[in-house]
Amino acid sequence: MVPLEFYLGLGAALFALGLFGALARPNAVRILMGIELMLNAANINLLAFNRYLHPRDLAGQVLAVFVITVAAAEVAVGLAIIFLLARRRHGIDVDRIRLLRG
Amino acid sequence: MNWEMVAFAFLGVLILASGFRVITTPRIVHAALYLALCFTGVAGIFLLLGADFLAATQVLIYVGAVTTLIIFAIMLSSPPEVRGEPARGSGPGGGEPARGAGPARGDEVLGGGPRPEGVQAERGWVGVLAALAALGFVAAMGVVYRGAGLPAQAASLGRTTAPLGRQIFTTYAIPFEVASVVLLAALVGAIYLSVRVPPRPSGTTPVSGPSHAGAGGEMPGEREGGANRGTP
Amino acid sequence: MSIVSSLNALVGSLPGFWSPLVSALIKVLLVLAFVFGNEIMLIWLERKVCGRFQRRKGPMYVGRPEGWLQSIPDVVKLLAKEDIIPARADRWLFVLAPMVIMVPAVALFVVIPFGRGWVPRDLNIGILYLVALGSFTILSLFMAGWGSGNKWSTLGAMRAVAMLLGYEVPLALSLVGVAMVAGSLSLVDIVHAQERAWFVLLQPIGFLVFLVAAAAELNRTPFDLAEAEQELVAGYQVEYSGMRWAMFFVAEYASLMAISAIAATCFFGGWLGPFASGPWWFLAKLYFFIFLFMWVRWTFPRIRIDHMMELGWKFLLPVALLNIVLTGIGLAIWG
Repeated sequence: MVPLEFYLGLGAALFALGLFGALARPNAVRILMGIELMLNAANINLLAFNRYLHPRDLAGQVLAVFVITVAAAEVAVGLAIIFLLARRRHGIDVDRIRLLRG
Repeated sequence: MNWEMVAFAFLGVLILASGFRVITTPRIVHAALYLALCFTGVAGIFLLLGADFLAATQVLIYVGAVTTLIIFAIMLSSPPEVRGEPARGSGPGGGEPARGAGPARGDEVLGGGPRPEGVQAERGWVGVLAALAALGFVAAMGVVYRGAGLPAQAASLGRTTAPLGRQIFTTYAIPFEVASVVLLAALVGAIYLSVRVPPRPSGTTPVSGPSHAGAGGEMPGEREGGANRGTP
Repeated sequence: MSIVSSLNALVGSLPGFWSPLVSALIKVLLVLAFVFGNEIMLIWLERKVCGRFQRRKGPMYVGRPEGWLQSIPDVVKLLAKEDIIPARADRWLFVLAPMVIMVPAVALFVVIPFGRGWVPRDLNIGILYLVALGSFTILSLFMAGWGSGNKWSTLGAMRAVAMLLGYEVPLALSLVGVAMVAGSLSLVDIVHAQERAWFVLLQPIGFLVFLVAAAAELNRTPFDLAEAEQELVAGYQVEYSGMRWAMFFVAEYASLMAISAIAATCFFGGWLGPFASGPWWFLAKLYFFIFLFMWVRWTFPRIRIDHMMELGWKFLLPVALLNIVLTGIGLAIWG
């Protein structure tokens, strides 16, 4: 059988990829993609722990469902914001968006 | 050597490779499609972990809806990049001078030629830091897991849909209702942000949120029951 | 069934590592044989039905008297065509799109029960699996439209994606009603739950919603604006020729068969019949639904895209939700 550490390692690696993607690219859509990768990695971890430590209790799966739900909601709003920024000709390079500057 | 190990190895490579390509591919449409591949791989991992309902939900929501949302947003927000030209408004210059643009992964376009994303010279050192942070995180997690003495055997889960449903409606009913409200808020917010109010006949324009200028159609709102106006 | 038992014995005799693989392979081959065998027949059937509804006779010459060998020259022609990849196409996407669209078309058959015990794999999440596979169709349409490097293809693909997304929700909700009455998502359980009454009688609204949403999911008239010949040439398929186009074509008909099979299983009792239940009843119902979809295709005109969006979101979705509410009330009253 696959040891638990392998799943957790996969989750950690995917999270690291998402983290790098979210930090290293200035394109707002890419940042969102990195965030999605991180959320997926968190789900992998949740389900792996659920399966290996407390298989009878489905708390990990329930929480994973909520994570998926919230991720979908956040992507929708984030992309609407990006779309609005693009429409107003600000471009979607986060380094250049200064609208909230005091 | 059993099928679980083979499947895990295959899926693990698929997930990490496509995740890596999401970040490093210069063409953003490809990045969205690699992301879909990554999501499918994660759904496979969910199946290996016995969560069949979650695997189907993952495919349905992430591959079906989130990927499509991202693709629509790409189409509507960065047409020059989509056509393969350098992005407007991004490119070297403006900001701190490059501190010797480091060999950060992801900023080098693989194999020369036109640079659709524009080289972010001032981002070079941020990329290096991010890569170090990521690697450090993986190393730290590795240390933590090794020392934790975790069980290796997994018990069988059986059917998960019915128990999951029962749990959601009894023990976790309140988070469930809160999640519904979150979805509703996202739905309304996305629609409000992207609806286009036509200019008033007197020539004054509305002050708040909805954009009144610019071309472009409407953005698909949140998938779960959102109003989806077709793109022209 | 001596063939089945001898196959089982053969598979059981293999070492533990290989037996699940071999049994899966055998099931896959059987499903593929069924799908492609029917494909050949369906190409001919569509042209015949089309002809008859248009008051002409359809293919008549190859294989007299009804032209039933017409599929053979069709296939030969497609194989012989030059394989063209447009210069501005994105090679990877262009080549992968037809392969990706075949995946859901065939994979949908994995959970469908052809007869008692004749299901390749009875998944606990049967209905959810079916709906989830639609996502891959959406992805593949986009890949085809975008990968063609042609603005009409992209436009057609975005219209098709918007439509598929919009109708996927009512499709799923109409099947939720079925799952509520049957008490399970598994298609085998659903067939068994129809032993007293077919679900078309218990879920008439759900059935109608399913039919409309399924026609949209299949890109068939009256919802075929993704391939609207009069407007977009062939929409996302315009740059595809020869065998690549044939893959789209085959996938469309395989999806048609799959959706008809789902309709037969979830609403018309699957392989159950008033006497001598078995796979023949399933096949009869399957072909009935295929004929029904063809009938609708050659009878109704195409719907406009904004009307189609309104129909999906403002009519079908509330009706499907209403169906769920009524089903819930009905279950509470009559158990």
